Amino acid sequence: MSTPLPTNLSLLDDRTRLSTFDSALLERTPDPELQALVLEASQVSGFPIALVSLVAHRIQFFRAQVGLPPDLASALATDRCTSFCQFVVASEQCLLIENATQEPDLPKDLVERYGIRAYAGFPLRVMGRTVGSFCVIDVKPGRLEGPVLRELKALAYKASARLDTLARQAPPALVLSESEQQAQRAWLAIAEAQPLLSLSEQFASGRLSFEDFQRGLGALAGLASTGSSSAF
Amino acid sequence: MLNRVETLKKDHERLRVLLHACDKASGMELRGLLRQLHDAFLLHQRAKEQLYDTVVATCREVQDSSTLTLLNVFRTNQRVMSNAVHGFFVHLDPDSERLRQRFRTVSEALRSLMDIEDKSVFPLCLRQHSRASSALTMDSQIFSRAGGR
Repeated sequence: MSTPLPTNLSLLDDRTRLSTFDSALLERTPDPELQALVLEASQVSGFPIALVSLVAHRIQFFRAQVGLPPDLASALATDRCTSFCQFVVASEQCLLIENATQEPDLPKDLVERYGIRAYAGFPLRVMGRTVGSFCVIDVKPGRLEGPVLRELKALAYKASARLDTLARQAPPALVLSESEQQAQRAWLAIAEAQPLLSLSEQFASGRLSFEDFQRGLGALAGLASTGSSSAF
Repeated sequence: MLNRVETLKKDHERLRVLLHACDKASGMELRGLLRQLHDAFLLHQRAKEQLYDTVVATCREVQDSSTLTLLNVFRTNQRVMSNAVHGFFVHLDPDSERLRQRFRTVSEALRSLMDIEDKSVFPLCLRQHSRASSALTMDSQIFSRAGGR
């Protein structure tokens, strides 16, 4: 039995929510505290993958991760539209999936590309806004019981608190003028394009095979296609 | 080809110097330097697009599909990032402190983009050009021998 998916996804593009994303949140350098929380989540659940996933404008960005395949560990992101975490953000509630292949309304891309089956995600909140999902993932179907879910929820609270602390080091303005909003969107487009460069860098330095490079690019196909027409 | 690549590499050196100056600059100085950086970046991007056009056309001519695939991947990634960077320059944040913080992301992205090009894209263009030249020379020799018979 899985949680029903929300039908209204409008919160994803809420301007106030998106304005929360600034350099502290989308920083690529690992944060030891968040890293410890995802490790614990993986151990508690027995699921091999655990993430602090921030659902931004066009991508979901993995601020902390354990267990990802090499291409995703390099990119630290996938397209937002293929993510499960978008539903946690849109509903602002926990999402439980026991077997993704049995859920016709879920995006199929990550199921087919990475074999994702079971998922449990909890909302991550920063300054009162839902910014992402603290989640565990398995490549085989699975169900987590009450005590494990409670532990994961507690870890999600801790992750939210840590993200909130990071974000408040350089708090975004509460009310942005039109030019400030444009500037924020322009900056966000660069931060969101970073995963493409990371993949290229890892491939160029021989740390990623061509097959993994291509698979990682496939998971970011939406990002590449929307921003690839030349402006020059 | 060699000259075009050398020119682009020199552009990279100039852009790195400007980036370094921007990293160190204060308030109003930063905005002025960012304008210079934007101008230099635009010219460099145009030149790089022309290089891609040339090499892609040659790949098609000699039916080098593997190099073509790789070049198209690099070109797409380069365009996505360059368009985003262009947007940043057009919409500079009015708040100076935020502008400085956000510029760090831009600076890292541009350095990363140039490193990838220096390490992978330019050598790929040069290798492809050299292979294509040999193939075309061989073709013309065969053609002239066949015509001479």
